[in-house]
Amino acid sequence: MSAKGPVVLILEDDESLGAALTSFLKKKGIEAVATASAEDARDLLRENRIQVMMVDCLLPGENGVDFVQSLRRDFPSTLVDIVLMSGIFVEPQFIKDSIRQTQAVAFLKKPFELDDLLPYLSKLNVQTEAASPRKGLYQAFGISSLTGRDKKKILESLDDIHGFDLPFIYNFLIHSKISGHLNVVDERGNVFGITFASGVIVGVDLADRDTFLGKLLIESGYILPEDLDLVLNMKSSKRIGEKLIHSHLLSPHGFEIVLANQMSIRLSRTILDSPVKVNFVASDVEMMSPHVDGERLERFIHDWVAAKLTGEWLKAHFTPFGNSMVQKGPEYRLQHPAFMMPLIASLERLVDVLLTGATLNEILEKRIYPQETLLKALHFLMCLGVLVLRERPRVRSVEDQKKHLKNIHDQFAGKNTVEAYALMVRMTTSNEQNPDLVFQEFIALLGTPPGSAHRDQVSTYNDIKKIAKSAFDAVKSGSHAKIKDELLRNDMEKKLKASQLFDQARGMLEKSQFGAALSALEKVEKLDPKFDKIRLHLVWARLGNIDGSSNKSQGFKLVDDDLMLVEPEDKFDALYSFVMGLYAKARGDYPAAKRSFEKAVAMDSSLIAARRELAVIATLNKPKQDVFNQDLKTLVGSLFKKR
Amino acid sequence: MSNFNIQIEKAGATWTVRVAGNIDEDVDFTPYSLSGPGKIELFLSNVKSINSCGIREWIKWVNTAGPAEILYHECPKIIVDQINMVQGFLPASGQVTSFFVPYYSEESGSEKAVLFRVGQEFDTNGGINPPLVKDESGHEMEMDVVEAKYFKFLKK
Repeated sequence: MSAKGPVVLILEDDESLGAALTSFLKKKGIEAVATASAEDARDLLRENRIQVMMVDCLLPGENGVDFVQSLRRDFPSTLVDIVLMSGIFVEPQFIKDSIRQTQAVAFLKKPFELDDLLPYLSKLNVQTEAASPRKGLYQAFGISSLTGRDKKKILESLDDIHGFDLPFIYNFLIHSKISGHLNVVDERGNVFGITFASGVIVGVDLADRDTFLGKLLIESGYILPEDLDLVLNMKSSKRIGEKLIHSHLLSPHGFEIVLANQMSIRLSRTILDSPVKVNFVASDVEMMSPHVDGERLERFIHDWVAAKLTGEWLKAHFTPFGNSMVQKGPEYRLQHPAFMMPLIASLERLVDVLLTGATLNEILEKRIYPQETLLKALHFLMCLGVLVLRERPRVRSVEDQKKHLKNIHDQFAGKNTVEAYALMVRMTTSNEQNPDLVFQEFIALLGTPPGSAHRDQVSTYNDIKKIAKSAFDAVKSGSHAKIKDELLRNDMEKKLKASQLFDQARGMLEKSQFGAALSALEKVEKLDPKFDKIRLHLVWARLGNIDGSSNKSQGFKLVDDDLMLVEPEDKFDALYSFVMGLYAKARGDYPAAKRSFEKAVAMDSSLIAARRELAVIATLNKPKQDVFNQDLKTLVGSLFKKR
Repeated sequence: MSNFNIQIEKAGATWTVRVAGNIDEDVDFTPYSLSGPGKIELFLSNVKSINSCGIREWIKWVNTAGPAEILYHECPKIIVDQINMVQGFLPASGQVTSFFVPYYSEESGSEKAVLFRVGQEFDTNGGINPPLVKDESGHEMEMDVVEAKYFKFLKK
């Protein structure tokens, strides 16, 4: 099932020992390959990402020490650790000389206990990498031989993940056509779940009052509050929707639309920026309507990746994949609709750049695109299985390791111990409550410590280790909690300030003071980038300013960028319809603007700004009777006219 | 449609409760309050599936037992998974006396659920003593779970 191939190469002419070592390592989650031929060993080394070689000193027709020395000459940039073995050459001087000549990390005298090997393997990270269930998940699309059972096992192995991992899991389940319930627990202990039936999502269960069906039906204008009260007071085991339809208060079609909207909003709300635990319960599930199919989910994933996933999370997420190459995935095809979606279309020749055979770190180093946008685009295509990441099928070079360490080092720049620990948790996706595990996995993520010949790398490696150790010590000593409390207080203060500023900005927008509103909203965004509906208000302010702008195309570009970042669930809000009305109006498309404003008013009759815009459009349609020439009664009447 | 079923046998201060079927949004636990007895023996081997709605309802339901001792017998894998993942799925007064562990044979591809019992295949300190299990062809079967994850609840 492994996509990695062997990481340990055993060169041993005693077949039974070779088999015993391979089997022992397999049980430890480490893939190994054994051969008795030095020539085969060279080929295996070329073709695989071997990290440790166990070499018998006495090979048929060849001396193991000479063989390793020739390898060191032929592969000077490799970081393979050598473990020498011998049952015959065991004199202390020979052992000492052979270690020096081959730069081996150990010499094992035969017979040895298999467990004696572990110290030389644990420092290589192979155990952790092979056992990393989350990394296995993200590589799943790249393994064509996965059976249904393998896929279920991948899901079963997941435990502590991040809410931002959920889009990938949703598509993986849809793609796999596995039926059952994905149960999720957030960090506060709230339980929610998604139900899958043979390739579609048929249910989203989220205890969320904002999206109760009754509330959505009223907001969407399908029923009146008194209709809801009436059916809620009915003594019947039927559900709200059935009661409303049965009482002729709601059409089945309208009900289906609102159900679909509810599912979309709730699904979007499951994409949390916090740790979650997941468990998949395979089960027979009936196909139901409405449902979210693969095509619709792809659009959702685009919007989630564009609007919800943070650059910081993506950088940490891709860190373990720095030495992997981007390749075509099972869903790759030239005409894939994903390539037309804004996130991908905005990056010219993206796929060509990604598919050059370079590693991710090498691509990032070229700085062709803004890093965050590039990572978002790549992640989106990976979630869909259009692209996959594969370990480069060669030995990790000194240069690869250098880039890997630099990438990690850069992410720690300017971080205090609390932020550094949070970053370690993100990079390893470990449970933050278990600092020992977080530290252990993080050190494993760094990879083999660089040899003393590579001074720069040693310094970077030690630097990162020192930062990680300080963060770890702070958690262990309890000072972490105090700093975290202080940061939380600062954060709360910022949120409060953002809220006050936002109220002022909203007032300015209502009064059409767009310049001042934009400046205030930009401050709100800095204080609290996740402020509720900040993006829609920014668009409102930008569109208000666009008329007086000397560079309209630049203004529209900023608006387009902001619209791409609107959280998908906000697209069901009256404010979104209103803002889209403003957008259409700014583009001169008055019929579309009118439709959007009418929709906004229907969803929220108290949205005065939308009513005002409708009145303005009505007057624009009657050019001879503009607002200044209308009689007052008509103007006031049109401003407050009920739909 | 849910095929959910509960049977309660009341014998003095001890109730025996057998739960079967799918635990989901269609399940109504309200007629089956667990208030009253000092000890409740829950048999769960016939629970087939549970979703998030069912988990929330389950937690509310087992809380109706108050301080009564609750013993979970014959827990299938889906119940063990929820105990491991969801705080309160096994209440503070609860204890698992036996649970199933999936086994798998790579040679034949066959699967088997083996019952682990307290004092035999596991102890309350988190130790396990897995039995040797063979498939129909006599091949040795392996535990088909991530051990560090599956047996976590034993250490709680």
